[in-house]
Amino acid sequence: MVAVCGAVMSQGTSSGLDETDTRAVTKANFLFHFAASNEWPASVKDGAFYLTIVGNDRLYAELVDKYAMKMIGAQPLQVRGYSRVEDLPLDAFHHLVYCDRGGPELNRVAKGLEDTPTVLVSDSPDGLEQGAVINFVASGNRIRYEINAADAAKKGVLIGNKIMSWAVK
Amino acid sequence: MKTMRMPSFTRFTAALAACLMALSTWTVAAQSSLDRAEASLRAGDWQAAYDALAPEMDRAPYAMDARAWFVLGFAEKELFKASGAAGLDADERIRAVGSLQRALAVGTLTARDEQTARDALDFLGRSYFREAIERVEGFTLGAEPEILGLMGRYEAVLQGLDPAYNVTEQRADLHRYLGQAHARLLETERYAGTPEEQVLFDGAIGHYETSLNFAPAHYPTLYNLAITLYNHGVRQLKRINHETSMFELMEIQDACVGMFEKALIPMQEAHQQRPNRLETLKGLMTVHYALSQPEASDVYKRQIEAVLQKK
Repeated sequence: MVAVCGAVMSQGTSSGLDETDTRAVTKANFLFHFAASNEWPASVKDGAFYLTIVGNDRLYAELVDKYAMKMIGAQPLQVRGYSRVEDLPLDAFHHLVYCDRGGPELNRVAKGLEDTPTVLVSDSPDGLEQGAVINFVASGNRIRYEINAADAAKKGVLIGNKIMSWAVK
Repeated sequence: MKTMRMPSFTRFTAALAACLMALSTWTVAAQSSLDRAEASLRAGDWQAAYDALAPEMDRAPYAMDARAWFVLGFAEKELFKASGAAGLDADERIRAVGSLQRALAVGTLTARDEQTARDALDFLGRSYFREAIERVEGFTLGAEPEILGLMGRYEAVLQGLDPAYNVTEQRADLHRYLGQAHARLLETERYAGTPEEQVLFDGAIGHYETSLNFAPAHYPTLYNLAITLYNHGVRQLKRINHETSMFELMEIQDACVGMFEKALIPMQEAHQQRPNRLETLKGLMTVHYALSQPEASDVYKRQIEAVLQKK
């Protein structure tokens, strides 16, 4: 979409359209709430809170701009971003990972994070099936999310009531 | 904006010259108030012409004298021009319009005087329109009643000359420009989060809709309306931050989606007017994306790519 927008603007067509990535703005706030309102195991409650974005540069930029270094409990939020799935360092710990890719790529990330108390968030029609704990879905032209709370519990992460109450599934 | 037809200055000047030549045959001696006023007009002393005649107009013999009203109106018009006065309250202009309209209403002017009076009224009427447009260009919050008042005077004067005069196009233009003026102020963020922001937004939407009533299916108005609705939704969304609660996020999202859904309608109508216009295709791609409709967004994305390939 960004490339196409650039091409249109370079035609000299001044539209006046606000080019903010609206979905990125909304998702960023959801992710912040996922970080702030869930309960992680005590073993990962020291140091920074790591929120990692894979495959969505505008979402990463939005998070860095508005949420970086905000406190998640006693932990400062650190935002990390990677353009490709293969760049994601699976040996490093991440509290929350958002993966913009679906299908086998998402599944690969889910498998790589299987044994860690990491909440994997996706935006894919089969996100939960591929191993995500939370998956963004469209509902009535809005961004909502579905949750696999059982998987979260297996990882030792307790999904907060506030998060559960707004889930569509 | 439609370029206004210029008054027929050539005809107007010739008529005035003839008028003054006729006046020159008169002697200053034994002058009536009208004689003195005409002599002053001939000398270019508008104020003296006005002073000679104005106090006499409420009583006989001038109250029903078309020529006297014409001379007075002409002097008042020149006084208005010389004063540089502007706005609804410019007395010289109000008086000039009134006197010239009265001269025509009495109905005994010569053909030449009648044409001169009509040209003078045309000039005065269009001066209202010019001022309305100037105020839109330098629009500030609160200027709207004056602008609409000026437009109303313009219409009243022109339709007084010709009851069939059609002002639809100018009305549509004026409201579209007023919509843009409101939208421009919204974009400055000067009024962000203030009650005036909603006033500006409502004003922009109201004027675009009014413009569309006068000129339905007008592409720029439809497009501007869509953009204003969409951008206002985005404006709300951008205020989300780490202090926004989950409940507030849902509320804001509902409000934004409402704006995006409204924006989609005029954007689609604009698209129907000009199916290959890139800015509209981009608008539709973006609005559908914001409405979490990736497939629909991709349809327009592909159309943009196709249009660009043809260029």
